[in-house]
Amino acid sequence: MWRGRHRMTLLRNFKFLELLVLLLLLGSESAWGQACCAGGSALTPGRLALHEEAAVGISIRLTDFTSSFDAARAVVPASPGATDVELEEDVLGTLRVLERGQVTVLVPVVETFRHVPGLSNAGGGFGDVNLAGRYDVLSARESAWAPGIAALLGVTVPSGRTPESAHGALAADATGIGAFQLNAGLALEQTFGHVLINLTGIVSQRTARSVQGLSELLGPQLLALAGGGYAFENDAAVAASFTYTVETDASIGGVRAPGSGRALSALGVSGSLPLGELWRLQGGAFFDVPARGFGRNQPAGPGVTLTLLRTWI
Amino acid sequence: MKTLLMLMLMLVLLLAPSAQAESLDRLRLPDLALAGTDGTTYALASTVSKASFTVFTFFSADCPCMRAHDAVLAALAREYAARGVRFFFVDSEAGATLASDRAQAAARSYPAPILLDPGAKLSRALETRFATATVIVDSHGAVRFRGGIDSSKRTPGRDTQPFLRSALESLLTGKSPNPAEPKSLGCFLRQS
Repeated sequence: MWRGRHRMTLLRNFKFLELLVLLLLLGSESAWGQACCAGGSALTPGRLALHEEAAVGISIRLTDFTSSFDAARAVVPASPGATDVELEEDVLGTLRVLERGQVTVLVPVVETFRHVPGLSNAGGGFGDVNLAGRYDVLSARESAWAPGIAALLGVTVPSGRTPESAHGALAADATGIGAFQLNAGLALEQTFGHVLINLTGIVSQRTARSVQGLSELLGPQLLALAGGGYAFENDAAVAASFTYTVETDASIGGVRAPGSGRALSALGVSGSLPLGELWRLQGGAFFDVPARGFGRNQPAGPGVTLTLLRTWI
Repeated sequence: MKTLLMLMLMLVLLLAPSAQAESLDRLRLPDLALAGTDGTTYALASTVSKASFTVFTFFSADCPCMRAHDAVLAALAREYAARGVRFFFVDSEAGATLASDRAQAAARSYPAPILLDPGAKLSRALETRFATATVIVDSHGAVRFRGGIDSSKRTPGRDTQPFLRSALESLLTGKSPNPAEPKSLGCFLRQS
């Protein structure tokens, strides 16, 4: 039973990266076409626009896991009567620390409701806090020929409740992965009039941790994103993206665990609406592609997000 | 200790305006000859010597912030022409042509010409990187103001601080603009 709970809740960090990527699109109000001044968010949700100095915001995300991928990459629908719904609220803040650099802190609160026939479990709490930095070596549109280039760095701190510390058979109150996660990436983006294209790659490595006396180390993770957006004259923007995340097999007790690697593909659409000069509302919908070969050892399902940001110029 | 802190604070306050002025002092209008959308080629040194002040606003055809300020700039150009202030738009973006600028100037009903700045020589000399960045030079070519048109990146509203208008009013009454270098809020100028 523990392994099942463990697997189920470890997947949170997969979803977390997905959220970051979705926010890349959501937050990129102005990057999408430089509608008056670029911005967005990459590894940094709440990414500051070109002239912004700081931002604080709250983000809500609801995901309904309606199926999962097995180790052979086949889609397995949820059992009849089973429910797995996750609600996440993030408080985030971003500060410009250099002319081209910014740091973001994201504090998530996670609530999960799981139900299988004869058994229900609900729980939640603070999740794993994420610190992220972005440095724009070159901004989109700054050069006529070179794309914008940004270096991304981040760390996820295991401040949430680990799977083995969770209560209840369905581990609904597990909110963290129990290990540090280091993220590094590169984002390329360029504008063509009102259109912006973004390509982002992020590699992640978790630290080893001990679970019931056994050392466990998750495999390195790679996330690739391709996205495009359109910015309107009033700074409103729409965007679409495809992300693919893959992770190699984990090691348990120093031995590779074959078949434990994971993968997931997600499609997302998002929009951003300026509310005056300093506020913006961002929303989006995403779903994990429920087709054979598009995932592995992962729960999958649709979700929606909504983010409200207050910025300072 | 308190006295020392107070003295340091006073020193910072005293030095701040002069530091800002110094940052503009090192900039000079280069003596370039730029072709305008009105068919005239303007020798900058000679052109600015004929006006009390000359305003250069850096232009980008596809920057929404630029479009949002078109009406404000047109109104200012008309209003201050009577007081000896000359306005120009400057297109320093890579790929810009006089033909495309001519079409833009007509479509936007600009009351002042767009000057084509091949190689972005003017924007580099004046160290402007963003569309809508505006520079005021006096009749000797000295830079007196460099920054945003106002505090809005969209269409200016009730709470918008009109930096350019305030700077012109100050200069025309013999004072130094304050602020002399407000933030420019437009898009990056696309440069080669």
